[in-house]
Amino acid sequence: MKARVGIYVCECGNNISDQVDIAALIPILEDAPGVVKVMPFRLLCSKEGQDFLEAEIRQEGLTHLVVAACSPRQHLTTFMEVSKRGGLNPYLLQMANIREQCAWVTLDRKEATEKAARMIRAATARVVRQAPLPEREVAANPDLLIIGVGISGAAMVRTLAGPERRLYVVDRDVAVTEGPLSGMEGVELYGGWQLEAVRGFFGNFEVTLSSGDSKKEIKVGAVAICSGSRTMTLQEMDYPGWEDPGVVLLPPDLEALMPHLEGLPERPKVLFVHCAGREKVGYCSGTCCLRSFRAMRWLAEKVPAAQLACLYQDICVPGRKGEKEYQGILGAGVRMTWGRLTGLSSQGRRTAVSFLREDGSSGQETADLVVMVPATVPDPGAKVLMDIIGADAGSTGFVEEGHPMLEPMATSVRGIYVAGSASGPRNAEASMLSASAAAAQIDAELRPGETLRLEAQTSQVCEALCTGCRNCLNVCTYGAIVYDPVAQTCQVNEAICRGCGNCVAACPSGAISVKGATYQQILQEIREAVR
Amino acid sequence: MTGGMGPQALVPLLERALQKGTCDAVLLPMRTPRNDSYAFVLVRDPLLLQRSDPLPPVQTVTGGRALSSLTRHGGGGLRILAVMRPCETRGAIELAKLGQVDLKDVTLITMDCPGTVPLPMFARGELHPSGIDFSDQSIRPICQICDLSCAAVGDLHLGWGEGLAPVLLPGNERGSKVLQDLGLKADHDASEWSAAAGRRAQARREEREVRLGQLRTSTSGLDNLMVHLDSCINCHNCMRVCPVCYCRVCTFDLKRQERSANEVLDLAKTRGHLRMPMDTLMFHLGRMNHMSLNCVSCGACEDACPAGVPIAQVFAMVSDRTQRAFGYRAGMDRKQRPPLITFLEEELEGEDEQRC
Repeated sequence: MKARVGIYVCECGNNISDQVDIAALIPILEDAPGVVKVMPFRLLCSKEGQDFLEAEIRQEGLTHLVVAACSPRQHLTTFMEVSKRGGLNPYLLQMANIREQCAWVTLDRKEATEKAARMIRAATARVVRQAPLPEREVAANPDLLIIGVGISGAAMVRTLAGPERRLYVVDRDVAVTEGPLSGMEGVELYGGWQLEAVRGFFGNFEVTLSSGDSKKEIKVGAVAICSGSRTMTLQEMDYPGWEDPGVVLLPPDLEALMPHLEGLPERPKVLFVHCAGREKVGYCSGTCCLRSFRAMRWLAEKVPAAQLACLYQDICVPGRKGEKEYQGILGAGVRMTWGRLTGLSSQGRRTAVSFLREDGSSGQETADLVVMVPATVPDPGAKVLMDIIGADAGSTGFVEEGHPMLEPMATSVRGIYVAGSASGPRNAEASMLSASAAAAQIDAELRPGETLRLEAQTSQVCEALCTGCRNCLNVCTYGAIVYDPVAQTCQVNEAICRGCGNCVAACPSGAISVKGATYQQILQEIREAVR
Repeated sequence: MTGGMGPQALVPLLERALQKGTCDAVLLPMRTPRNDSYAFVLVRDPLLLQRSDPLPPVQTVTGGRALSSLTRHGGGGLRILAVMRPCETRGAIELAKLGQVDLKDVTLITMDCPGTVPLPMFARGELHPSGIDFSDQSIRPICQICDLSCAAVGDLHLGWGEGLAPVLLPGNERGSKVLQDLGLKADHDASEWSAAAGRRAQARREEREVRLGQLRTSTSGLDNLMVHLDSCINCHNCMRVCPVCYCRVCTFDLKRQERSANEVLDLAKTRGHLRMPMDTLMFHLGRMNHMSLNCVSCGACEDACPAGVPIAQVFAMVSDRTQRAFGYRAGMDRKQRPPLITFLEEELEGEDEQRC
């Protein structure tokens, strides 16, 4: 069938028409191969614009559609829906971004118009080489595996538990089986079990759990990592002299401090050392200042005679309540000293704390008890989990989010979510918040009874060209490629592939392409853009 | 080391390896039945080794390619002793990094290489020596500037030459193991050989700098480069024989690479003139782009060129610089990953000029 391409140029109010001479574009575009209609429109994303486009597709019998407007990030899905309503496969649509990439980047009207013409012609050359792609759906299992029952894991169970989906909750601690979550509807608790293997993909994961020699296979649609974090030990911080008996870690349960205060002088001096281990881990944990201030307040009440002091590098108390807490301890007479801890040593019955001042000179304070306020570090199990799941652990060892802004509750593997301090230091409030956010996202993306839409623009391996070198396996973030030892070629699992194109770039033989972005399409697009 | 003076000294050793079961088979160059050429042959019968010539005066199919067809994607689990020149071995090592050769069961044996004569002249009988020595002037231009001709890149390396006691040097544990299995000791005093090898390499390196420098001047700019490619007939032979060009079908042989006649006419209109066919320069630049980081300067491309294009020298000129830019020398370090398949967040920043 002969291509009938319609090009529709959006004025975007005045956003585009102010800088791009749309009337001058029309004859240049009409000249492009396959084009049967070029029309400007005031605002294509409006209700009127969408109805107009839908009608045009039908009236003109369009086989391909080019929308020259804004960024596809903003309205690609809008216009794909319009295409569908007009009876056109949504992948036969190509957008040319003449707003962000032309109108908004120059004051030169002539240049903007010239570039717009090239970009629209390039989009046209690309779209006529596009084949319709089927929209694929797959039945999805709404059940969820939650790894870890700390604050975030428990919050997630409480949010998502119900008759619609089964929640499998795994924790290496046996005690959770008898804990407060036991007996909830649809919740199966596996205390003392751990994750051994995860196969499959979003909506259809097969998981092996193990406990000693016992194994159990379960099927879930998604996995939530709520494995939490822990605080650094004195040994890990490895400050010189850390073994001194007068040095303790700030415990999670403050009562645990009491035994250390026994046998101290009547007016004991207690020095809280902030940022312990911070330089070693390479980040500010962001939660410890507040925790330390609360501990100081608690101690001041318990042992009114205690003289409290604090060695700090930065004060990090964000949020509505932090400053009040800080002012509170300043008001209570806690002596604040700026200093970077360099070492600890015994001095009689006391402990000497050496530090560097801001000007580089060295200082020393002695105290009856030194309380180290430790940095938060990933749970050692997180790395193991990431390896099993195949998701990215960042350089710090915490679970890396899919995207810090756009997908903060996702990981690099679709269907594997993360909540709480598994992805970075968080206090209880923030862990609760993130658990709620992750639960909401899981509930929205994995609706019980609904199917999942699969990516249509997946990559494909041309078996005749593949040399089986397996470079693509190394760069696939989603684990979507397998090597077939019989065919001696690599193959893409289209249910997992998300069309990112990493493998295309890595393939030395040009054997891989992404549907909708084939070599031929990109080549013709570039040729048209630079001709 | 026992036996004769040159590489032929390896033959009794290989016989013994087959007899004792140190390996299942030996891969090495042999004289063809009519005694007028050489080919890599996989040998399991020690008696057949009599026809072998570990260091033939000409390079036909390169050793890396031969090994690839035997071991690609795991092979059949045969324990092979493979005898080839340093450049061929480096090609095999590059292929191993690219997943096209499996060295798991292969012991690579190299030896000092004095070079080979040009294949076309050999085939026509214009130059048909039965062996080459280190003073030979008739070797290929690419051999004349080969500074790695004595590189001990094999698991086991034979150093030899006129006035030199041959030395057998294990390059790693695998090499030592083979020597041990054969009841041989490594030659501990290799100082005489290493001094000689160092001198050879130094002389070649200097020659390489001079000749490639001249070539660089004369190929500077696309127009001048094209002058050197003027006689290219687009046969793509250079790609087909290249040991590190391993794609099943070359991108430049694919339909998708072809422009339609309309497009070509369109371009001709814009530019005023067009040389036909269009893709000569694109093919060579594209191949350089794809392969220069893996190029081992074996010269197979130049031997295969029916039009006399000095393509191996052009590649040597480019790859010396591209490889230096990445601190890479193809086939030398088995552990170093090829730059094209290594992702680093930060590299080549700021100092391009000094690097290449």
